[in-house]
Amino acid sequence: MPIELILQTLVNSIQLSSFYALLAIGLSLVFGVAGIANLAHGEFYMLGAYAVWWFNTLHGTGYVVAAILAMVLVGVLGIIVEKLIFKPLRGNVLSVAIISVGVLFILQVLVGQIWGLGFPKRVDDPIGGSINIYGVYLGYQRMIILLASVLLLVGLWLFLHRSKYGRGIRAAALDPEAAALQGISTNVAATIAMGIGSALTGAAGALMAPISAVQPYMGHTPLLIALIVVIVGGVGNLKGTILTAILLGFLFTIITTVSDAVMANITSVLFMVVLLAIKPGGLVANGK
Amino acid sequence: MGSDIKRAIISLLLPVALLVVLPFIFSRYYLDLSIVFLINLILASSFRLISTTGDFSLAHVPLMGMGAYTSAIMSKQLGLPFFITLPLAGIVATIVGLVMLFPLIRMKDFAFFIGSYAIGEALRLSWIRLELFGGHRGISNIPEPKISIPGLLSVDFSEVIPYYFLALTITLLCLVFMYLLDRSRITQIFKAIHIEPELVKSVGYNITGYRIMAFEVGTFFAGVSGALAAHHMGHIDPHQFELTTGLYLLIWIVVGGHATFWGPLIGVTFFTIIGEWMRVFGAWMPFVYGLILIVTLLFLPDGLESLPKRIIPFLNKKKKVVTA
Amino acid sequence: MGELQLKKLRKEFGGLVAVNDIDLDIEAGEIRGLIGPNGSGKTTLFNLISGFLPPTGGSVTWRGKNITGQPTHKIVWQGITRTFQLTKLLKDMTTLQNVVIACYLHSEMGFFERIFGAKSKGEAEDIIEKKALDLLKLAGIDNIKDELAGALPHGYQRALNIAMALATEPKLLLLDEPATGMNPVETEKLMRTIKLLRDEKGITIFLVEHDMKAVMANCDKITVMNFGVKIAEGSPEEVSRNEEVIEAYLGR
Repeated sequence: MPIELILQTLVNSIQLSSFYALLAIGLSLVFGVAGIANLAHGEFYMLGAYAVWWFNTLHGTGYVVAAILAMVLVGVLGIIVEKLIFKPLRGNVLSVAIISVGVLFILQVLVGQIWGLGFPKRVDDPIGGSINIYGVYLGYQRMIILLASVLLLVGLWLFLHRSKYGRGIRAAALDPEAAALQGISTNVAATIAMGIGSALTGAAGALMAPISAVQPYMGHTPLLIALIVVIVGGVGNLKGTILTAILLGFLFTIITTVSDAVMANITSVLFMVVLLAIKPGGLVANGK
Repeated sequence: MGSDIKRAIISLLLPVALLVVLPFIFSRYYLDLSIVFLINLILASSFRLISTTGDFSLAHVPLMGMGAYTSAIMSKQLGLPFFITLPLAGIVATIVGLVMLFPLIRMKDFAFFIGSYAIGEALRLSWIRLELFGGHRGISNIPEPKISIPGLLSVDFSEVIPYYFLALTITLLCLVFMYLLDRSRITQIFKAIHIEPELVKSVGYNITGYRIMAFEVGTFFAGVSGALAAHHMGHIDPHQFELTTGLYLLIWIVVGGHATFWGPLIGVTFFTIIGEWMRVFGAWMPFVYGLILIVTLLFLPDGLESLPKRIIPFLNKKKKVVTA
Repeated sequence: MGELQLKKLRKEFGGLVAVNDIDLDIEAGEIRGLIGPNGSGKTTLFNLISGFLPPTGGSVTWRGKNITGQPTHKIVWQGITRTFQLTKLLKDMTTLQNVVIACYLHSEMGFFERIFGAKSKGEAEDIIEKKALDLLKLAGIDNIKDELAGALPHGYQRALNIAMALATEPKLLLLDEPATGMNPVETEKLMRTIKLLRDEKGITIFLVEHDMKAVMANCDKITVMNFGVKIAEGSPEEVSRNEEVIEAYLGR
């Protein structure tokens, strides 16, 4: 196998892994802290992309501002959805998952009807094109994604381990009763987790907007990926999520290179099934 | 015969009579719709059968698809008659379902939900990948069922009215079986497994075995409904059995209610009617589904079938209800 | 040679050793008490014996047969049944219906009768109902047979759990804190029933209890656990005089 192909595959894998990690971390956080399996996760991602389109392409705010606004917007949406829709059912993971399906459908249709179902929306990359090193293509946007993902993930880690609120929500994830005794309410923890988790997901969408087809159904595959990563990596387990994202990123890229995308999908999906089957106790939130 | 079976028969006399008469009243369009309605009744009841043990399966629609593909391929490629390919569809679905259960049965609750989606999707992706199933385009020109006993009887079900009666007969048979099963001790065990699995285990029940039983019986009927759908539509492809379809099925059951046998039937009826009202606003259907789902789960969590229970206390304000 | 033999039975959860190489023998027809402070591993031990948890090491032998790690339902069919510390019941069904469900499995119903035998009256149904009623009488709760199980007072619910366990025709009963929430009168009645089960039906009883008076008065032999380890074993007199036992309960 030519060395360029191997290097290219390596580069693609790293880039894909960073995206997977950012995409999945929001879901893992919310699931781990609040027991919320948000199946509308893909739609939050989609809204992040649409927000960038709306702010930048339609209203010219510039890409960076648009991306930040996208994060804020999706974060706030997440909090609203949590308080109005998830909170009454919190406690039963399956029930929350089912009601989040309703959120999924509502968001998909609203976006489609408001902004049309025709051609995908166009979002310009802040730095277009790519550079070529020894026959390996490095797209600028993909490098931005890698950089931003790493920064955001590090930021999240710092928040969870160094800030008062962050440690509070970690405590709430591990032992809600003990946390409550220390004045950390599960409601507040859930809201914070949902806000941050949704914002990170919106960021993933905002970052991918320039290189994806921005259309109402773009969240379907990201949801699947996020689910696989979270399930395999361990719900609420930050390190596990990132490791799994890397593993899956490499697996997917290699199989796509060697075979095709459909095979890659089948493999990813079977991977999830096998892990769900052998994980003792199924999906249990463990601490970070 | 038990008094509640008698009651069920009497209260069903009118609807069934209506169903028998409708082909002579309805236009072609509504007759087609009715056939789909009947198929959905089988699909929804069989889904609910599995859910009585607490297993909500997103593999149900893909397994319906397995039945559809089986009947389509067997009748088109091998020229087998419908009365063989129909039960065969059910059987093949159960075999595939059994293979799925190897990993799936180790999962419970939410893990089972997601795992069933994943494994159903793997099945669906394999239809796209393999030549036999026709890839993305699926299978077309599925032959219509025929019965020909030389010299005695020749019925061609390519006409809509005969097909309707075929579907009606099969649906009634399936529903009666599932209704009887619902009233049996076995379903009591299924429900007990859902509520207190440890207790049921502790008195000696093999709850894994019962879950497998529920899944396989439900899957058989999913396969049957798939075969009916395949020969009605004449064409099937992998996109008909996507996640969205499975989610709609889930919503029928959640909104209709799943505590009793009738809940899913109410759900299918309700959404068939809504589907027709909303036909003009086709693109808004998922939105309406999502909204109804959320409203139901927040304000009427036991589903439409629990409405009478909720309303009667209002009407009985004067009576004092004494509880033991 | 005990009817039930535990050899070096062990259960680890990650880094925590909940049951630490326990050796234990129970003779047929014995009433054995299991005591120890909260968290000493008593319920985990019951879970290991009854198949609710697979052991990390060691063995469980019942009447000469190795049943280690077998699934619960197989163990029940071999004669060991357990009850739970926290009451588990089918709350929306009546007392009688709860016991009937347990009896149903252990009756002689044909296969098709099982599938389609509806709730209407049939001969097999009558036999099961009669057996269920007898069990309720034995547990002393036949007077409330048509009450919803969820509405019963706590003591009656515990009695119902015992009736259901008896439906499985056990040779060994593992009772996990059966007297929880009972007043002294109810506890006395419970202990008399337990003695009766051993005396008249020959059922071996292995009993976790916190009510010391009841344990000392009714058990033939007592095993004491602390931090997953057996720290003492013997007659009630021997155990109550054992220094380690006293320390375990007083010095925490």
